[in-house]
Amino acid sequence: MKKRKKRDLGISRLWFYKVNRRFYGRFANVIAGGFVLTICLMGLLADLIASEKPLACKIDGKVTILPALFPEPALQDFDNQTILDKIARDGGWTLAPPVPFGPNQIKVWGTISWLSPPDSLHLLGTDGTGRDVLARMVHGARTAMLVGLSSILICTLLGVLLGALAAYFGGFWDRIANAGIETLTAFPTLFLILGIQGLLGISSIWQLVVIIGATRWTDVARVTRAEVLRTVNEEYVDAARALGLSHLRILRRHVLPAVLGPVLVSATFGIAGAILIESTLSFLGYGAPPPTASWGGLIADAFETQSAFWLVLFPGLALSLTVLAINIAGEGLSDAVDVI
Amino acid sequence: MIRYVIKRLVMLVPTILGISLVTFVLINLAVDNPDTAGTATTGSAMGRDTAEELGRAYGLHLPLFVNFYIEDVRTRTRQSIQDLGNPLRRQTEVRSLSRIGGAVLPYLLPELGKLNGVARRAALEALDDIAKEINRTEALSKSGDAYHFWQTYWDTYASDFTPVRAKRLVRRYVRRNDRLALAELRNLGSYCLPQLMAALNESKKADVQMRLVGLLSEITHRDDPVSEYMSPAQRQNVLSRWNEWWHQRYDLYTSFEGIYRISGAVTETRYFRWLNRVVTFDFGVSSRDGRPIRDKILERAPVTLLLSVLALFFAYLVAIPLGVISAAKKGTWFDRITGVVLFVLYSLPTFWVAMLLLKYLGSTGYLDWFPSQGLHSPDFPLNASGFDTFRDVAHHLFLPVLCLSFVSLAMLARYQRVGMLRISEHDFIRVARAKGLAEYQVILRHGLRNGVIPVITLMGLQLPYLISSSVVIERIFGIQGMGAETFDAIRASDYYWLMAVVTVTAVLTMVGILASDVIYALVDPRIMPGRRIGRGR
Repeated sequence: MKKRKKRDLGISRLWFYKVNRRFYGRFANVIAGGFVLTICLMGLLADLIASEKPLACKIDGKVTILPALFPEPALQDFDNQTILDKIARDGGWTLAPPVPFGPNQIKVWGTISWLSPPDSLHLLGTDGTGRDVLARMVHGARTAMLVGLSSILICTLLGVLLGALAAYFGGFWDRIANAGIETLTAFPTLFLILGIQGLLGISSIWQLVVIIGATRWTDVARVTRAEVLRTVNEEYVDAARALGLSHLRILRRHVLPAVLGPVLVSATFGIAGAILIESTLSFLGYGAPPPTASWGGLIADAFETQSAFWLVLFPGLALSLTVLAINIAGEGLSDAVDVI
Repeated sequence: MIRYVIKRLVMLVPTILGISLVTFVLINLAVDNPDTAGTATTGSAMGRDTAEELGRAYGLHLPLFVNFYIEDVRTRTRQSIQDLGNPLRRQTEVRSLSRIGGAVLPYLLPELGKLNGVARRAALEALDDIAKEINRTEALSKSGDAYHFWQTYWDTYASDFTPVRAKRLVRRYVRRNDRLALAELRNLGSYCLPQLMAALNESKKADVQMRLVGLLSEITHRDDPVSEYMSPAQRQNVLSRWNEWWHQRYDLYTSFEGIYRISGAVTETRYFRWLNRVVTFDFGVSSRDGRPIRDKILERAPVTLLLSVLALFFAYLVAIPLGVISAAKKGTWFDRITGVVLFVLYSLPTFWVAMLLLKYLGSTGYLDWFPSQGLHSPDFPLNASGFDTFRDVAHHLFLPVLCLSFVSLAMLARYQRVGMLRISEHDFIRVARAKGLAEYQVILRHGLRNGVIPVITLMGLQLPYLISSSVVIERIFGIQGMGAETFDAIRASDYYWLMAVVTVTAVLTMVGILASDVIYALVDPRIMPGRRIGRGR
């Protein structure tokens, strides 16, 4: 029992090792992968990087750590700026996060500055409601990555399941699945999603995730289907069938591992596509519901005001670089997977 | 060739069924969803009234796919008569009977004598309202002998309540404006609605339409008149509103007999009604300005299509030479730099690039080379010559088309390069070189003609992308296409437009994919069935 498990893992470990080595053999891939990872981390730790509450502070003789994550009633009325006044009065200390503004914080020391250009206080300026652009960009990374990763997770699950089943069982089911894929590809994505958002109403970011997941699985399904069709005629699958293994086992052990590479590549490009869709929808005003920070939403603010280059430039650059990095990674991955 | 086209056309049918099915699921999700039906969230959420109206419009009172119990005016009346004896249901039944009006008379009056005291009183109460509708105030139950009045009424006019008779009366009224016919039609009440609607759809003259719509309003209490001061287009709009109204309610006033009762099992369902709308292209009437959605689509779709097709054309125009040249100069600096530039272009968000170009090339602050909004200059004369119009539109379209096409362009050029490189490994290219042909002849005549084929197949995939992206471009450049209209529709909760636009863009894309398949077959005869040239299996 133990031995068999080891052998099964051995094949895929070798495969992963080869793909890894080929992928990281190219410098551009390392840079791109690192950039994507950084953006992911930024999204994950957005509350610590850009927050209106300090990372840690001591006021009234009491030390509080990470009040942004664990709300502290005593600190409810304070933000990074007002707490400084309090400390100057009563003593204590505070450790501000790298970006000392919250994504929805409007007042800084009681004043609101709309559309102020980049300066030493707001490194990348403020938007039309007076919120710090840098803070919103950090939280926008969270939105982008959340939508990108989780909608592609749905896409991949749906696509692999339907594509593999259709190709494996063939005949009638294959034709049905094919017709479904063809039908869904015929819908222009933005019209379909705008239509759905208009009909159902924009309720939460998860709705967007589900909509993108439910409409964009066709790419993965098509790739899976093609690969499975190629694999089921291989001799080792015939051998597995001759051994009398169940369909599920053949699919899981013998067919699907061969599909892993192409699906991974397709999903990587899919993440870039999903991020673009999210930002485009947010730009149009039908993506993430309003208070949520999004790169596309920041650019939309610039579109409405028709000035403020910092609102166009920085979020756009972040978006473009992220998509570019993911595409480079996808390209590198497809090279790395193809050769083996 | 023709056989191939026909085969592809037949294959279009299941896809259109699929498209209608997807949109059908969507509308049902939207209307059945209690969250959106009740509370208002950001952007759009429908109120109760809209939901109910939408319910009628998309046949939500009907079963989904098969209808074994068809409700028409006859079954409805019988059911109501039975329920008149039930004290809990009585008031609702009376209301529903009187709302239908004259159409219930042929089914209610013969049964009147068989009803017991309470039920009969309730039935007479319903008949009171109908009496008002058909201008028979002497029949009111307060005046005492309503029961006998209705008995005599039925004895006298029973022969009038047949479709043939109603049709003849309507024709007499249309042709000669006959007072007597009018009086008799009033007697029939809502029974003559099917015939009136048929006559209305056949009528061309304003005065006939005016008269018919007048009578319809009188019967149905729905106020949407035709006046003689209206333009033909305006009159047509009123007519299509009446048709839409009838389309939603015809099962309240007609009874399905014979073959219609059998086919009704399929046709009187939610899905069939929606399919009917898709196939006949009749998506109802816009809730914003009361114009038929079909007219609006026909007005807006050409703009979006023009934008998409121009972008497609431009993308191919640039991508093919670029791909060919960089394949021919493989490994040189030119190839490397184009490769990187194309890869970056492929990753840039369309809306961001459009914003930047608009800001730096199309606004007064910086370089004011291109106009920023719309398709025509605001002061453009309407009677300008063809060339001037062309120049003006081209000037306006340059930036939008550029922004729309660059992603496709980058992708196509990359595919073109790969395709050329693959072809150049073939033996026939080596033979061409060995024959001593000039390099340009090898590339253009032998390489390109084969290398362009995979790129042409991509046309079908580009179209949905381009149509989809035109939403953004239209928004930024203020072009009044389908995308711009969709925004207004979302803001105003115009669900007819949303459903229509989702369906129509999908169908348009299907047609585009069909066209690209046909072009593919023209360029590469190997894929056509029955003609196995080259590496046939």
